[in-house]
Amino acid sequence: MSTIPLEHFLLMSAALFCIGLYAVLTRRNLVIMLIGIELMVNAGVINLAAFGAFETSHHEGQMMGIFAIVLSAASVAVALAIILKVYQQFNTIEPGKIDTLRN
Amino acid sequence: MMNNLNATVLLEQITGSLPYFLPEIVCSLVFIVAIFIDLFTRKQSRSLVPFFVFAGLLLALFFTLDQFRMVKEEIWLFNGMIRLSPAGIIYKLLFLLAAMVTHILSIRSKAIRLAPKGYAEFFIMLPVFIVGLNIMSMSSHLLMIFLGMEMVSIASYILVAYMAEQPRSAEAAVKYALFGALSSAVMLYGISLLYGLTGTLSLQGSTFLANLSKAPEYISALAILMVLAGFLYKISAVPFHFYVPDVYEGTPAPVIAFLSTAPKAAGFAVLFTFIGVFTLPMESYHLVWPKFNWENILVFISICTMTLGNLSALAQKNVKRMMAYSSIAHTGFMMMPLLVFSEMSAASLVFYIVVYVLMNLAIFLLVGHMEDAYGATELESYKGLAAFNPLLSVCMVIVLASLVGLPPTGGFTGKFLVFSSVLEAYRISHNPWLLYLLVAAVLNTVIALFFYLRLPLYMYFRKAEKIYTSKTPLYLLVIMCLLVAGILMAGVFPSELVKWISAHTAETAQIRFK
Repeated sequence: MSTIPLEHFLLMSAALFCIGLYAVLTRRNLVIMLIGIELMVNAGVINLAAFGAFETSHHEGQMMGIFAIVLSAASVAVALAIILKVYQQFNTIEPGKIDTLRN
Repeated sequence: MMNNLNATVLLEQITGSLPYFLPEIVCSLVFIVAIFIDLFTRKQSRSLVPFFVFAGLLLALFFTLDQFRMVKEEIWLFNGMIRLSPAGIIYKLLFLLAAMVTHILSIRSKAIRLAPKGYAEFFIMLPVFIVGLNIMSMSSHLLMIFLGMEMVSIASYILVAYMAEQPRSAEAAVKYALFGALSSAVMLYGISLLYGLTGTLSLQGSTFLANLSKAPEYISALAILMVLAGFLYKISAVPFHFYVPDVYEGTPAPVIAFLSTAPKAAGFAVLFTFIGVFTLPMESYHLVWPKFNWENILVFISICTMTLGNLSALAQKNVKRMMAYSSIAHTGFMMMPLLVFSEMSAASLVFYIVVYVLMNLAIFLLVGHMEDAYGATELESYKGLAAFNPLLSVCMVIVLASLVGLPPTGGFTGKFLVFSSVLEAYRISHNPWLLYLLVAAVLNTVIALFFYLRLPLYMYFRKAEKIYTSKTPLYLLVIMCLLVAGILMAGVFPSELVKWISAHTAETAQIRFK
């Protein structure tokens, strides 16, 4: 059975992380920014799973991966609910237009 | 056969750990039961849930106090996932104190009472906070650290978004949640890199550091910085501070009283654990990083944090925004003992955090009362308050003097302990950065004098434009006086408190410095 080398996983997750970060920094839409953050979380999860394949004593990588998925799902649920509230208040989800809190 | 044996040992470990985990179990149960109470009694009675939650917090307080008796030295629970240390119990007490004061302040707060979905859910979040915060202060395993921080973060988003029917609250919440999610994503990536480099997530023992020393310098530095980003967000240090003023301004004062104290204290507990790993005798692991000196990076961040916090606070007219920058500046001061890491600095950090929690609870009590009674948010609206409300004003002056760091208050003792622990470290190591840090800290204390004392200036020396008619409720005055008494006690009789704290932190520190 031929296996995929570790480097491929790492390169993919690094690319995913950078794409996510790029989306967060450049896009002007709260939902797409949230998707970018999710990409970054998934990059971390892929890393954990890939490294976890080499550590067979405690399986900490897989365990951490599952926890991370659950926790990020929970925080996305809350974040989406907040974005919905913002949309109801401001009628837009463009971060630049949401600025009542300024001195 | 082997697996069965392992499973029995694991099960015994878990059942043996449960008695040490009672406060957290109580809080989890209170959370679940309170949801059902709210569901079934919503129509009849609104005050049942807050009452039940408060009773639950009292029970958790009882079990936490009981742990002082049970725990005399570090205990490893749940197969090394959780480390219960005497210093951790002090943090847990602080979280409970903050939660209970917040509970009492919120129950009469107009902003929370008038929330359209009722105010029961608000109180249900408090036990969740306690569980997450306790896990943060007790963990020395990256999985538990991440779990605790996420629990606290998600609960914080919900509290900040609770009044999201107002645009300002919704805006504050969305900024808070997005920056929080971003920083925890970065932290998770850093953790995954550390896991790849070391093969373990546990910070306990020497495996972590021994394996890290075999890893290349740049990639380890990158991983550590990414993990630090998550912690620095939680303690709101520069450059992860810019959400703080907006969140403080857009959120009711009782919520901020909690969010500015407990999660920050927990963040420092976690940071202390994480940095503690790297202060194990480095040479024996051949962990030499010539180019990446993270200590100096943290010193730089600390200087930037306190300077930026204080200078920005000078320009603020909104009291909550001013206090936001003040709490950023205090983060800078609280980072100082982390950087030197000696037995004395461990105690001085806990002392400073205790005093900081008392001070911030007291100041947001006043801000919340003013907001509720008069809708006052600006410095201007505190004009001439002293003539109408002398007791509250005197208490306020003491708290502000403590925030500046003037004797005879706890703030002075805290700053004194922190500064002298840095000075002691400088005498030993002669690292010029520590000297810069000390100079910056002293200069910042002077700057702080100017903006903190503007509040008493308005309260005492400006003519009132309106009449402050509404009476301060008695329970607020009682809490205020208790908090102020605590601050004064920490300033006038510091030796007892310092002795007590260092007796509890010494054990953690000794393991490191043997």
